Amino acid sequence: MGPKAPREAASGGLTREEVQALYAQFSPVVYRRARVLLGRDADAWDAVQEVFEKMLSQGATFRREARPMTWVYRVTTNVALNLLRSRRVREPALAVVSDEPGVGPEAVEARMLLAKWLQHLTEREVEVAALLYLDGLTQQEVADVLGLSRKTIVREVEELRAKLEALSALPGGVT
Amino acid sequence: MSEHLSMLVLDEVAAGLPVSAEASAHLESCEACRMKLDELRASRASVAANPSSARTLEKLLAKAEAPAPKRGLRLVHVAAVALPLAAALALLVFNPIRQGGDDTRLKGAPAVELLDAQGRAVTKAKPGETLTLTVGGAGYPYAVVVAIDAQGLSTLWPKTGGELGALERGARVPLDTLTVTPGDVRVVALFSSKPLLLGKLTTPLVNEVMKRAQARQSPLDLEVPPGLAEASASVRLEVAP
Repeated sequence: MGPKAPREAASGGLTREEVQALYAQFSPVVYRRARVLLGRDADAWDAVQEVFEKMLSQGATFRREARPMTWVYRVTTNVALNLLRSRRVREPALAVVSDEPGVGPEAVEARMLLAKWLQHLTEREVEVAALLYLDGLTQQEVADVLGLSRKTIVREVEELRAKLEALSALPGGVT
Repeated sequence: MSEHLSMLVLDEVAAGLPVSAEASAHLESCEACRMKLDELRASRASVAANPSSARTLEKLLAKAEAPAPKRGLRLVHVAAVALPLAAALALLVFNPIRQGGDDTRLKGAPAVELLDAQGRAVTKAKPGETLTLTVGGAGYPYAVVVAIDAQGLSTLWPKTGGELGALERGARVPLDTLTVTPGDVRVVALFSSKPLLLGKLTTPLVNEVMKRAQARQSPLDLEVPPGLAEASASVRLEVAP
């Protein structure tokens, strides 16, 4: 049964089998979200690795999550946005127009919006905007993902929306 | 629930995590959400099959297998069952039912069966046919039932919660009704005398399915690893094209 690694061989006290199971369960979600935000396969897989390293090193925190998928969403967004910011520093000309073949117009629009948001919004605002408008989460879910109260998220979304309208940086279809 | 399910909830369903009863009910009645879920599952399968996925996992394991801490952490949510290769198309649609079971085989071997409308155990079916999933615990009070098909593994029962389901006594205890969709499937029941986290039994099975997928072997031929559960039973359903 399974690989020959000892039962307590992997990080955070997780066995090799448990790491593999977590990977099978969550890596497709991490990859899909990172791919939309980052636009390049190689970067998306880097994000997958970084998210899982965090998951394994913060095993106890992850374990306490009532909804582990919200942890995955939050950390993936953070990791992807950090990679995007560092990419803007390293290769500003490529930050937006980096799509690989086969990427649909929605993904291109998403990253153009993201580039605009990164220029004009705070880190928190970008995070909220990405979860709300790119991932399509409800306000309550964004609150759950970010660990905020319902009241706080309603207020932040109102402010964010006004800011995005002023910047003409609301996604198509959002009125 | 009138609004469609969010991506977060669909991701949870596709990953085999428990979701609210409202979300499950919505999914059963909303074709648009089911289609979205199917797309999501297909996308998960495609990501899992990407060679970069295996490479990233190898890198991760290499890092993770640095000197291990003495105390183990068990992730409770693993019990919710991983979907290997992230797939499992909407193979079966479930409508919970509860009926009395008979006790005629209580002392026999543990069993899992799929019954047709006439109550006969079947191993062949056609898409669209409705079957009843039953198990007989033969004295084992806890169980989990999973479906394994070409797309991967998914939990049939219990539908929510992270622990093995408590079985009623009986040789043919009905657990769910299933609507057959195309593709052969193997239904495996694992039994225990103690309440356990689901992942204790399902994670090794997930790994076996993944290994078979990587070796391009059919997961339908998978044998339950010896010693994994106190008892197991399985039935393979051939679905006519």
